[in-house]
Amino acid sequence: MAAARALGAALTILGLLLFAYAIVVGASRGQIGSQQHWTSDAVAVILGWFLLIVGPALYFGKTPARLAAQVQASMGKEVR
Amino acid sequence: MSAPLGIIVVSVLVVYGLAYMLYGRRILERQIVKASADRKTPAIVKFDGVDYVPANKYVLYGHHFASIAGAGPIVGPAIAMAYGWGLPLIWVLFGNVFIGAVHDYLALMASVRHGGLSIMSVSENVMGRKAKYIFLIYVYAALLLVLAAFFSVNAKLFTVNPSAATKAMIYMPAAVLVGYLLYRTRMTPSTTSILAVLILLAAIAYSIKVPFRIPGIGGIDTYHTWLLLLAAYSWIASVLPVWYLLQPRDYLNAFLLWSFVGLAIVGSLAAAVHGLTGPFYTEFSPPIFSGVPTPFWPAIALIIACGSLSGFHSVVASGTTSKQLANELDALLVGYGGMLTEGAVSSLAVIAPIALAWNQPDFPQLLESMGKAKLVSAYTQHGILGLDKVSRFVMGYGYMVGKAAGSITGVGVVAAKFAAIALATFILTTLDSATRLARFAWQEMFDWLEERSPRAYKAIANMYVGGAIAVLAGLAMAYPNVVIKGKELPAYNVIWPAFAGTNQLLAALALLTSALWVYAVLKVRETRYTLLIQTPAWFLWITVTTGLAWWTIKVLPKLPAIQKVGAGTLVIISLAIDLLLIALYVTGLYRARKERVVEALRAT
Repeated sequence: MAAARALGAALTILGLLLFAYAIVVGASRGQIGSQQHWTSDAVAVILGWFLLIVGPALYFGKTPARLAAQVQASMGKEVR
Repeated sequence: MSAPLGIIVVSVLVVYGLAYMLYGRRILERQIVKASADRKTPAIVKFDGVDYVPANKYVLYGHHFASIAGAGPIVGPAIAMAYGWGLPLIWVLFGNVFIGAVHDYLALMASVRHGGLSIMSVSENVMGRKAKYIFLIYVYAALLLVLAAFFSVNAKLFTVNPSAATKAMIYMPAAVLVGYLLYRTRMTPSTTSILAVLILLAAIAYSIKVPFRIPGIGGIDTYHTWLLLLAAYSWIASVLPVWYLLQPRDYLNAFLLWSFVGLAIVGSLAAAVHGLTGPFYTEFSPPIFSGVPTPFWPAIALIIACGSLSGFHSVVASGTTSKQLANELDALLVGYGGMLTEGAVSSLAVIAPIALAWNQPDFPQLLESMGKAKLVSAYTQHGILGLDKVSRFVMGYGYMVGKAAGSITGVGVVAAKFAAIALATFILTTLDSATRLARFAWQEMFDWLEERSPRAYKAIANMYVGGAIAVLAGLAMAYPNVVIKGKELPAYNVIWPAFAGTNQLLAALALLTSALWVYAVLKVRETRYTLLIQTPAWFLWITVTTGLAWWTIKVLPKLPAIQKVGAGTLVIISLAIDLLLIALYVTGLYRARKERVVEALRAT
């Protein structure tokens, strides 16, 4: 569990860096990527996109406490 | 007939308001289903933190609407304008109130009362085990076709409109962030909402300014590269917990969709005094399908789907939506209200604007400002029917809002671009919902294995395998190209012409199943209620079955040979399944009536 959280944190941070890089470069160039060849910002935004979808899921893992509490209150039993 | 826009808009709003309060709340919710806040829903009872998770009713409403609204509520009515605006509007209103919204609400509630299982599995209780598996296979095949089509449409959209790709790139991580703020911080919902709106506006503004372009990879062109990326995304999104991506994404979507519908309502009211330049009625059989004269009845059910009624909705309602419903009383807003909202998109954001913009002297200004000057001559010669179906909607919407604001080339252009973004958003969200739904159907298809061999069931029906099989099957139909009429098109096009009919047949079968569920399981047997549900259900079944037969005789022979074989086979299989399920339905109805007689005899 701890390993998954650590991996999730690492992927999230890497994803944030890659995504932010692509967004900033895109804003300065007026477009992200190019139709002719692969550019670093295009690769960064795609990798960052996937990492930002997967990374936080691994980091947080279990159901948010607020949701679990809602179900728990309704059912009167603990949920995972 | 030149009616002012205002009369149409007010009539539509009054019909929807009355339908929601009288038919939806008084009859369906209180008299037929007898929904209760005290009865625990599957989202609570079967909570698993992944698929069964309670959601706020407005979030769930956003999810349900965004999932059921693909391109259907827009493209169908835009095509049907060939009949004039009167008949499509009547079909949308009638279909919404008496068929589509009833179909969606009952499918949702039937699923909720059966542990969140799909309407196909609910059919087992009223039509027997055979019906369930036949129905499941039929729906699973239809979902794979939907997946293939949406993979292809999204990939094409990202290729030709790189701004849509930028928005998708920003939208999903933004949804994860909103989910974090909603569920894991002490931030109030109102503050989160303000932040969500700001994120959404920033994403849209950035996307318009900064398009995202990619070349192909390893000898693959841009379109096919997008296909692969979207397939990977769909698989990941379909196995992630709903609270993590799907719910917050649809929370964001809810703002977008209400801005879209709200702007249409405000725009149409503000432009109320302007007369519609489009005709109320053109002809009963204009050439629509492959140039063949297409009679309004029965073909209209095959032309306008989602805006009026659609079988796919019952799969969503009894798939992802029923597993997230926190309270039975939320179902009316989500199921019945969601369908009426989709009808509002068709009537107020598509039919009314197109009818207004049909033949206006200042419309070419909008075309020129949008960089579509080459369409001016087509518009001048044929009116708005000279434009393709998507342009009719985008330009019509922009024209109506621009006319209301008195700025066709300023506000009108922004509104037209906004309409294009809304359409792109609806298309993308349907993609990962469809993958998750295909996974559910796959898992339910193998439920018989669970008791016999739990290990085999776990291997075959686990969510990763179920999601992967759906994605790979969809990709297999979207990736390779075939040549149709000298054009290279994705392979799913071989059978796609049959989709409209098979989808609407599913609607008829799902509504009949729900009607039988009301009669046999809920034991609601007052004649007036039985007639109120059964009559539209049978009307739809007769319309769609006749429509499919008409299509097979008149349209199929005009298609290229490859489509004749592909789509023709699919329609014939669909009609065979249709008749088989109807036989099982009649048996189920007969059994329920027999039980009723026995009960009555016992009572005496």
